[in-house]
Amino acid sequence: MKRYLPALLLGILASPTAYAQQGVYSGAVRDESANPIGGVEVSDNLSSVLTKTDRNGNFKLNLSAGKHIINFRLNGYQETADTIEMTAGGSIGKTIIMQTASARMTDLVIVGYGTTRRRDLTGSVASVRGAEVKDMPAPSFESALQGKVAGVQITTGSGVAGSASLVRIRGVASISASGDPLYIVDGIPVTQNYFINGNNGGFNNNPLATLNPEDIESIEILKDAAATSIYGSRGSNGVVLITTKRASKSGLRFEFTSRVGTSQPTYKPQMLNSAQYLQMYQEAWENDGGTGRAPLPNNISWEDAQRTNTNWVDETMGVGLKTMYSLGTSYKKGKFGAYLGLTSDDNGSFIIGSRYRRNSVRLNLDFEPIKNLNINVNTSYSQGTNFRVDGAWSGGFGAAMSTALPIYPIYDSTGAFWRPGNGSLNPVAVRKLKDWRTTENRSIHNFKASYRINERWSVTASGAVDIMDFFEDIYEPRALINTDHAGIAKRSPRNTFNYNYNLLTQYTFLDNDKHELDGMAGTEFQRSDVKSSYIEVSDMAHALYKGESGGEKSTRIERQNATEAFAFASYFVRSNYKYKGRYIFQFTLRSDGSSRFGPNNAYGFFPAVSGAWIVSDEPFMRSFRRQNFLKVKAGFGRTGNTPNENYAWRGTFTPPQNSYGYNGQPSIFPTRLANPDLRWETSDVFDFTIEGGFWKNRLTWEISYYNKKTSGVILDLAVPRSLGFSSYYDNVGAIRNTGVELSINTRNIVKKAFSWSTNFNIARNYNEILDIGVYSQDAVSGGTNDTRVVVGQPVGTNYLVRFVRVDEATGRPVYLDKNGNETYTWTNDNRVAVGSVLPDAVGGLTNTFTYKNWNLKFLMVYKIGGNIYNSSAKRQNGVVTDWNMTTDYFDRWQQPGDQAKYPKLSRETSAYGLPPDPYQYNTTLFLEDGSYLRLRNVSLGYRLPSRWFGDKIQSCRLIFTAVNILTFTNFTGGDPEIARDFENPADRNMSSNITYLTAPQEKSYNLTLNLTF
Amino acid sequence: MKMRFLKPIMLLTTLSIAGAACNKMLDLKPENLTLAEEALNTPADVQALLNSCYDEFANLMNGSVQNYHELMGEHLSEPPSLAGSLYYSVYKRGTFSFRTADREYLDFYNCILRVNTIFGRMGSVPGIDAATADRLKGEGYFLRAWCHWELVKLWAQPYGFTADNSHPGVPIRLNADKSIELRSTVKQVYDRILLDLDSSIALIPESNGNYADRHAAIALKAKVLFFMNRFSDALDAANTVLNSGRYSFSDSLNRFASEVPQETIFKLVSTGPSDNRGSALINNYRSDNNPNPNLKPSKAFAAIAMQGHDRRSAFYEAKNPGKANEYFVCHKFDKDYFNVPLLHYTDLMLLRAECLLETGGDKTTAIDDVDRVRKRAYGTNWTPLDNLIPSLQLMDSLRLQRKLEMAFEGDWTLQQRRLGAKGLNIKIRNSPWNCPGLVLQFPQSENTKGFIFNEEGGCN
Repeated sequence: MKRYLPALLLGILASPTAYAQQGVYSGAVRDESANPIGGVEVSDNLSSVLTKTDRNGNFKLNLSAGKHIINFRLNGYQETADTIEMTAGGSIGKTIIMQTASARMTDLVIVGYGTTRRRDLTGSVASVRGAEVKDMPAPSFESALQGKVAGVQITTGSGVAGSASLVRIRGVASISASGDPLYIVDGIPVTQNYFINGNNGGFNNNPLATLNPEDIESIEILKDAAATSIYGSRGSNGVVLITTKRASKSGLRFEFTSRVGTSQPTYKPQMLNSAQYLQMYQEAWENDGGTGRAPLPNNISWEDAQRTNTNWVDETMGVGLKTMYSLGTSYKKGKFGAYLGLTSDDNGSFIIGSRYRRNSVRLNLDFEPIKNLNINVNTSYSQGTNFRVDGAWSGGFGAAMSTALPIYPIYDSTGAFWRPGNGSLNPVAVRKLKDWRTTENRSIHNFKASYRINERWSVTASGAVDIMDFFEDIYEPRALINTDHAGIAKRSPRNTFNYNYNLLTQYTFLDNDKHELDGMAGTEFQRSDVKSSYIEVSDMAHALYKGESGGEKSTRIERQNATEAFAFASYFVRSNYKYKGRYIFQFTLRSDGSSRFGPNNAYGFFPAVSGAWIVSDEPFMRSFRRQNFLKVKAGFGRTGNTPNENYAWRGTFTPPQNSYGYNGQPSIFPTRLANPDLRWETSDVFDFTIEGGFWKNRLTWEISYYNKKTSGVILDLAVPRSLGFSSYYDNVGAIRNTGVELSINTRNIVKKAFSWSTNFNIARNYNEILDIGVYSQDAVSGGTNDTRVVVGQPVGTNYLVRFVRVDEATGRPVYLDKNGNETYTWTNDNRVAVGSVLPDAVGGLTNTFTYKNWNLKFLMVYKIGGNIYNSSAKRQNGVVTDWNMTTDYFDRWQQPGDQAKYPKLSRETSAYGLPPDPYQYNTTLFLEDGSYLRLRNVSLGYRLPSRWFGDKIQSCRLIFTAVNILTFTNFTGGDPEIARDFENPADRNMSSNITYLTAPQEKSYNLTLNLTF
Repeated sequence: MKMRFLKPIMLLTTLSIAGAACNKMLDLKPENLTLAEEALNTPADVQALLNSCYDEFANLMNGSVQNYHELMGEHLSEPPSLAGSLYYSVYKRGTFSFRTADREYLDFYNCILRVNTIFGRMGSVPGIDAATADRLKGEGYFLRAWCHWELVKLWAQPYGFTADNSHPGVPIRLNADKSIELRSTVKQVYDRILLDLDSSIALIPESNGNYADRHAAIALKAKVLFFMNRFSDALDAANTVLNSGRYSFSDSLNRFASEVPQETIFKLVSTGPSDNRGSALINNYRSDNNPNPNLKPSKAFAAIAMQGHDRRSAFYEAKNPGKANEYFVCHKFDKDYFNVPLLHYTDLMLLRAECLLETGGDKTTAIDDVDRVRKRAYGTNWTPLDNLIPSLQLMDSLRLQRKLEMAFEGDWTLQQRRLGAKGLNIKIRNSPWNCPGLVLQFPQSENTKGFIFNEEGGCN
C-alpha cells in the first residue's frame, strides 16, 4: 500500500484544474527482440512505483506538466530511464526497449507445447543456441552439446563417419528400455531407433545424423519432471527439443558458410610388427613346452612371415577430408516469413573408406492468411549416405587390431589379394572388393495453425510426419565370397513412417497486477510404422543402388518382412499461476496410452507440480545490491518409459505359413510368453534448484539437486531357460539416480575492446540399482560378459574376477576368489562388483575471449571417475590366440623373478587357469580408470572489417577450429571417450565404457568462412 | 461458474471425446504372428502345435545332442581349438555357464513347453474327439519324457551316481507357465519320465505313421530302464517290441545313408536337403565333400574300427596314412540328407542281449542277438560265437558290437557312464566316469535363488 501512496495522493489531489495540467504518458516496454515485457515497474524520479506494465508490456500514466524522469525496472533487465517533457493536456507515446541484464533471464525458452520466459521457468531447462552447435564441427548435432550443459553426459560415438553418440541426462534410469532422451524436432518425437540396422559391421546407425545442424535455431534440454512430465510416458531420460530456424528479421538476408577440415585419429593402436609378433608367438610356443619353430597361423611359413611386415593400422587409418557448404536465406515482410536452408556436408573419416555425406534442404514458412490465424509450415529433406567399411568385431580397423597379423601380406605373389579363406583377415581386400553403403532419405514436415479467438483464448492444431527411408546396399564380388556366382548384391530397405497430430487450447483465466493464471489442455496421437524387406540378387556385377541391370542375375529373392508399429494416444493439461510476478506455480498432468502395453495397463498418468520463487523481487532484497537475481525452484513429478519392443506384452504363436513344419505337415508354435501385466516404467523425480546473479549478472550461477527413483524397471530378462524361453519383458526392480549440478557463468572482463567470459559446469550423479527381484546379477548382461545388474551398484557394473598379480615364480596370473583368497583358477563364481562404467562427475569449461574483431574460444570437457573395461585387450594381451598383440604386452613375465604387468605368454587357457575358452578372460587386469580431461574444441575467429566490403556484406568471419587436439588420461588402451557399437538398448545402457576394437575419436582441424549479407 | 470459462471447458470435453477413439488405435497387433489367445481354435491347430514339438525335437536330435556325448567320450580326436568353440570346450570337458550347450538346453525345454501348452489348452478346443485327444496326449507324453531324459543325461550325473539317486537332476516342467522350477533329483526326473512313458503307452495308438506310436514309447521305456540298470524291466519292454512282429533285423549296415525301414522303430523325418534332420551329423562328419570335417574319429577308435574283416571299416578312412599328420574321417553320414533312426531294432537287440546276461536269462538268445550283428558286420569273415562262451566274454563281445554299431550316434559315452554307475571301474579318456566335467554346466540364465550349478572340471 505504501508504495502506491504517491499515486493515491496524486489522485486525491487531482482537481479539474490540476487535471487540466496533466498529460498522458503511455507506451509499451519491449525487449531487444521486440517481445513485450510484463510486470515492469514504472516509477518517477521519486522512485515511487506508479504502475506496472500489463502482460502485453503496455502502460499508461497521467503525469503533471513538466519534466519527468521515468524509470523502468525489472529484475533481469538493465534499469532504463526515459526523460520526458509533459505538457498540460498533452500525450506522449513511446516504446521503451529494455536491455537484458543477462540474456539468459529473459530468453524465450521452448518448453513442451509452448514457450515461456526463462525467469518464469519452474522446471530445469537448459538452452543451447544453434550457433553454438553449428560452430562446432561434429559428426552429428548432439555431440556438439558436449560439455555445455550441466548434467548432460555426451559421449561422441567414435571417429567412424556417421556414428551415434551416447547422450545421458542425469544418469541412466532404464536398463532394457531406452536410456536415451526423447528427441522432438519442431513438435514431433522423431524416429530415434539406433538399431534399425542392428549392429551390422560393428556400427549402429545414428538416426540423428540426418538432422542438419545448420538448420537448428535452438536446443532445449528438459531435465527434471517439472519440465519433462508434459511428455509423460517418455520423459524419464530427459527430453531434447530442437527448434529449427525461421525468418525473424525483416528483409532478405543470406548466410553462407563453408568449411574444410581434416580427420585424424586421436590415437593409433600400437600393434606388434612382424618381428615382434614372431618373437612373442614363439615365446608362447616354447612356454607351453613346444620345441622347434611354432607352427604359424594359416600355415604361413616362417620364411614368408619374416619377409612380410604389414602395418594394418596404417592400412586402415589415414587422414580424412571434410567439406561443408551451407546457404541460409531468410525473408520477412509483414506477417510473412520464409527460411530456406541448403547444406551439403561431406565428412570423410580417418577410417579409410568411411565417409558420411549429407545433403539437405529446409523450407520454413510463416504467414497469417486471416487475422489472428498464424500458420507455420516446415518442410525438410535430407539425404545421408554412409560409405561403410567393416569395423570393430566385424573387421576393417577392428581386424587391424586383432586378426590381421603383421605376418599376413596384402597381396600374394601373383599380385592378387592374399585371402586365406577368411576374407576378414585382409581388411584391405575386403574394403576394396566390397561395395557397401547405407542411404537414409529423411523428410520431416510440420504444419501448425494457431488461431487467437480473443485476447485470452487461442487454439492450436498441428501435425507432423517424419519419414525415414533407409537402405543398406552390400555388393560382394566373387573374389570376396568364394562363390560360383559372379557376385551377390543385397539390399535391405527399411521404411519408417512416423506421424503425430495434436490439438491444444490455451486460456488466460486471470491477468492482473497480482494474479496471472493460464491453462493449456491438449490431446496428441502418434504412430510409427516400420516396414522392411530384403532383396538379394545373385550374379550381379554391381550393387543394387546402381540399379538391377547388368550381370546375369541368376536368382532374385525378395522378402517382405512384417511391419512393426507402435502408437501413443495422449491427453495433457498444464496450468501456470503467478502471484505478484515472483511466486510461480505450475501443474502438469499427462495421460499416455501406449500400444506397447495390454488393455489393463495401456494408460499411465504422469503428474507434476512445481514452483519458483524469485526472491530477488522481494522488497527485502533491494538492499542486497550485489545479488541482483535470486530464484529458488522446486518440483516433484512422475515420468515414464516403455519397452523398445512393440509387442512385448503379447503372447504370440508363429503361424504355419512362417514355419517349416515337420514331416511335410504344418506346424505352429509359441514364440513369446504373454505378460499382460507389463506396465510403464515410472520415475518419481524431485528437483530443487537455486539460481542467482551477482554484480548485474556479471556472475550467474545455478545449483540443482535431484532425486529420481525409477520403479517397475523394464527388463528384458534372461529368464531361466527351463521355462522354455530365453527372455521376456517384465517390470522388475528399481533404480535411484541422485545428483547435484552446478553451473557458473562469469563475464570476467567486459571492456569495449576486450572481453573474457567463462562457463563452468559440473555434475555428479549417483546411480544405484535398488532391486532386481528374485533374479541374479546375470539376468541382464551387457558388453562381452563384463557388466551386470548388481543390487547396491550402478547400472553397468563391472562384474569381474579380480586379478591381483603375476606370480613371480611361475608367471601365472593370480586371482582372488570371492573371499579375497589368492587362487590360480579363474571361475565365474569368483566375479565381484569391482567398478562401474558410469563416471563420478562430468562437465565442461568454456573460456571465450574477444578482442576487437578477434574471438578465441576454448572448450575443455572432463570426466572424473568411472571405469573403462578394455575388452579387446583380454584377447590382445591375454592367452595368445589368432590375434595380434599390442606393444603394451612387452611388459610380460619371462623368467622367474620377473615383476611384470602381464603373465607369461601362453597359447593354453589352462596356463591362465581358465576354462578352455580364452574369450572369458574377464578380469580386473583390463579394467582401468576412465577419467580424462580433453581440450575438446579451440576456435579462433576473426571478423573481417566491414569497411572492406561496404554495405552489401554485413559480416564476414573466418574461424579456425581444432577438435580433440589434447587429451589427458591414464587409460592405456587408446581414447578414453568410448561409445562402442551396441547390440541393443540394454547394452547401450550398461556398456558405455566397454571398448572392443572400438575406433578412437576424431581429431580434426577446420577452417570456416561465414558470410552474412 | 462464469460463462467465460464455458467455451474452453466445452472444447476440452470435445477433445476428450475425440481422444476416446484412440483406444482402438492403440490395439496394434504384430504381423506374421498369431496372438496366443487366437492360435488354438481347431483340432488341426493342436495337431500343428504337436507337429512343432517333433520339429523342435528333431532339430536337437539331428546330431547336436549326440555330438556332445561323443565329444566328451573317447571316439573323437580333439576338435579345432578355435577360440570360443563350444565343441572344443565340451571335448575338454570344461563347459561352464558362459560356454555351454545353452541352445540345446533351451530347445528341449521349449519342446516341453509346447507339449505342456497342448496339455493346458486342448481341453478348450472344440471338436477334438476322444481318440484324437488320446493320441495327442500320448505323443505329448512321449516327447516330454524323451526331452527330460535327454536333459538329465547331459546335465546330471547318471542314474546310480548316488545310491538313492538323490543327486541333482534337472528341472521338471509340467506346466506352460512362468513359475521357476529348481533342479529335481535324478530319481524324481526318472520317475517322471517313466510316468510320462506309461501314460504315453496307455494312450498312444498302435500305429501312427511317421510319428511316435505305442512301440516307440515302449522301446524308449526299455532304453530308459536300461540306463537305470533295471535290466529285468528293460528286458520285458525290449521283448515287447522285438517280438511284436512289426520290426525285423536287416542285413543293411548303414541305417543313415540308406534307410532300413524294417529296423526303424522311431525316426526323424527329413523331406529334402532344406528339411534335413540329420544336419548336425552331416555337417560335422561328412567327408566326401570336405577333406577336413569338424569331427574326426580318434586314432584309438580307428584302430578298433578299421579292422579288415569288418565291413563297417568302410565307414572310416585314413587321410595322410602313415604320416605325422595322419587323421581319420567318418563316412557314415556322407549324404545330403537322411532320416535319423533314433530307436531301432539293432539297438534293442543288443540291449536285450545285455539284459539277458545281466539277469542270467536266456544266454542262447543273447548269443544269437550278438551273433546276428556280428554276422552282418563280418560277412564272409564271420565265425559264430561258441555256445559255451563265458558270459563275461560274451558281454565284451556284445559291448564291442554296440560300440561299433552305434559309433558316433551319441551312445557309447553314455553306456560307459551307466556302467560306471553300475559299479564298473570305467575311465573315459583317462578320466573317471563320474568326473564333473562329463556333465555339462547349466547356462548362466539358470542362476536364480536356490539353483545348484554343477561342479566344473576335474576330467584332466
